[in-house]
Amino acid sequence: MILKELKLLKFRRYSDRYFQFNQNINFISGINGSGKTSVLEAIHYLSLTKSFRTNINSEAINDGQKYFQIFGNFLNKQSLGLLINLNYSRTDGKRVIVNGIPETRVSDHIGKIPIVILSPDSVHVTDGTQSERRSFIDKILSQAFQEYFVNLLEFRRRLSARNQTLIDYFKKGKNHYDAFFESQDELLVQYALKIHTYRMGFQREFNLIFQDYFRQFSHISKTVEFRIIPNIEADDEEKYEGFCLRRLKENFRRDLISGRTSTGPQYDEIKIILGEHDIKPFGSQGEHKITQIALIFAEGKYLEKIKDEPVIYLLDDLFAYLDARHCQKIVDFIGKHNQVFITATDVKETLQYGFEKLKDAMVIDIGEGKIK
Amino acid sequence: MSTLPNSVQVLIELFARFPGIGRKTAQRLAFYLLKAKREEAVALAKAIIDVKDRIFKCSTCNNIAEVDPCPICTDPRRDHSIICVVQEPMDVLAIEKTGHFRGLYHVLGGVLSPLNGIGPDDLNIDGLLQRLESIQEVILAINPTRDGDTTALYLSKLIKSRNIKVTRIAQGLPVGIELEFADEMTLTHALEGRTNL
Ligand SMILES: Nc1ncnc2c1ncn2[C@@H]1O[C@H](COP(=O)(O)OP(=O)(O)OP(=O)(O)O)[C@@H](O)[C@H]1O
Ligand SMILES: [Mg+2]
Ligand SMILES: [Zn+2]
Repeated sequence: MILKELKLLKFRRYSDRYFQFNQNINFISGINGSGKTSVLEAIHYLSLTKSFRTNINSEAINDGQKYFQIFGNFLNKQSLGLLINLNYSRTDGKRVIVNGIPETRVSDHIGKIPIVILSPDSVHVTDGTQSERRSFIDKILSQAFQEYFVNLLEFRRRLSARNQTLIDYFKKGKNHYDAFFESQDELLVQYALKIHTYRMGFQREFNLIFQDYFRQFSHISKTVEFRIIPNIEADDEEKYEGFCLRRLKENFRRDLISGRTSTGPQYDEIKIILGEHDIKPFGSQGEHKITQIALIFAEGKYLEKIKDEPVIYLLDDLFAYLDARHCQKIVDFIGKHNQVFITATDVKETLQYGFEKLKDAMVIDIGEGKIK
Repeated sequence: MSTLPNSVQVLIELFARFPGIGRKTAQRLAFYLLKAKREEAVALAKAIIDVKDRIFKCSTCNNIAEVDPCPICTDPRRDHSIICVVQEPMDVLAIEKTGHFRGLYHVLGGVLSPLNGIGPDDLNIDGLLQRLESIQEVILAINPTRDGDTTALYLSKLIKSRNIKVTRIAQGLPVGIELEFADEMTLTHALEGRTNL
């Protein structure tokens, strides 16, 4: 997938701005606060219908305006055009229109434009909370499989309904696991099983790719593993629903007091094991970074394999985050086959890293409003 | 806006509260009434008062009626061993229109929806359980939505524990289609193709 043109209307600090991009490397350059990250954010919106830095859409509306619009002109592997228009207005909410046809559900859109983002937040994959790590796999699987995304949404809604029921029962002093809970749980575990099955399949396939990249990028001789430790350990998938139901029932009293369901894939854990150890507490800084980069590449490679379409990479503040040698490696590696967007405060700095040798790279200087 | 006489404004405000009626439509309705003959307006006002004064909920099936129990519950030609459970009175109307169901009804008054604060105590479920003595089959005509599925499963557990056959119509209804909007053919097929729970 390639983004050829982008138009931003009343988005962040842009009132009306048009961009044309290169099919390989695009440097988005400008001083701090000039709006570089906002360009990546807009592309992220077109792909995943949301921002990567806020959950509040109205924050992205240009100050004092009522709505924003983003237009993107994409071209896929078969040279088919995809004209995507995302509107968000304070009064009417969000709308996504693809080649003139409105998307009826978000789940119909996710995955059409596969992207991978590396931002300062990406560190959370190796050193963040469990929930941040889960969102790493959820983001990949949701783009890869529509069925996963739909199941995840349904699971989350059913889970919050169950939690609400726990709270209501607790308030009313009802403390029996009754037919109402039984009914909710029997339906809930069907979705839990789907999520579990996808995640386990992902783990198998993803590990091979991840380990391969890790070996390519590091001189670290340790083995590495992306490990999912499911909250429900069932030796085979047929037993999963039964196990899950039993645990939901066993933990009912405890859950009633906390008002939260403590059993299910919402508590799956993810560990990255380097050598013998969990990387989070034991990894060195360098090991964390190499692992994060290998994970990002593996994410892209995995998505490409499933979607059969090159992914677009969004690399925010790469230079602040990695040293020159690593940056160069990354850009060399993906710039050949994929379209890449890199933000940088200083073009000279990027050139100093040796990128001027890349003849295809395009520098878009938004700080001065010029396109070179 | 402020140039409108107060009584017209009040009317617009009231119309705007109706489901599916926005401000624009509310204005159109109000202006239509301004132009209409006096008798027409009076007839409308009387009809509104009548439904409020004369319509009750049947104490047996919870459907709307002018007499209690309602004509369906007291009709000797209907099959009193089958109950069809629906969400709203409008669903009774939709199924009656097919002419393919000759049993009794039970109106729940909604579905179980914890996120909207509706639990088992908020629906007319006890009323249903009290009616089950001479019943041989309960048909659940509940919309195939998230909350509808939970409600159907819950009811089937309660009813089956009394050794009564429970079926659900759903097959003929495309997921997400509400009963009240399904056409008669679809609904008839759905009734005939009900599945055992
Ligand atoms: N809704 C908005 N309306 C107008 N301006 C906004 C809005 N949201 C953010 N901005 C402005 O945009 C700028 C931030 O944009 P962005 O984060 O894209 O900059 P950046 O070039 O990535 O900066 P940095 O180099 O510091 O990362 C800030 O100056 C901010 O005040
Ligand atoms: Mg930035
Ligand atoms: Zn009745």
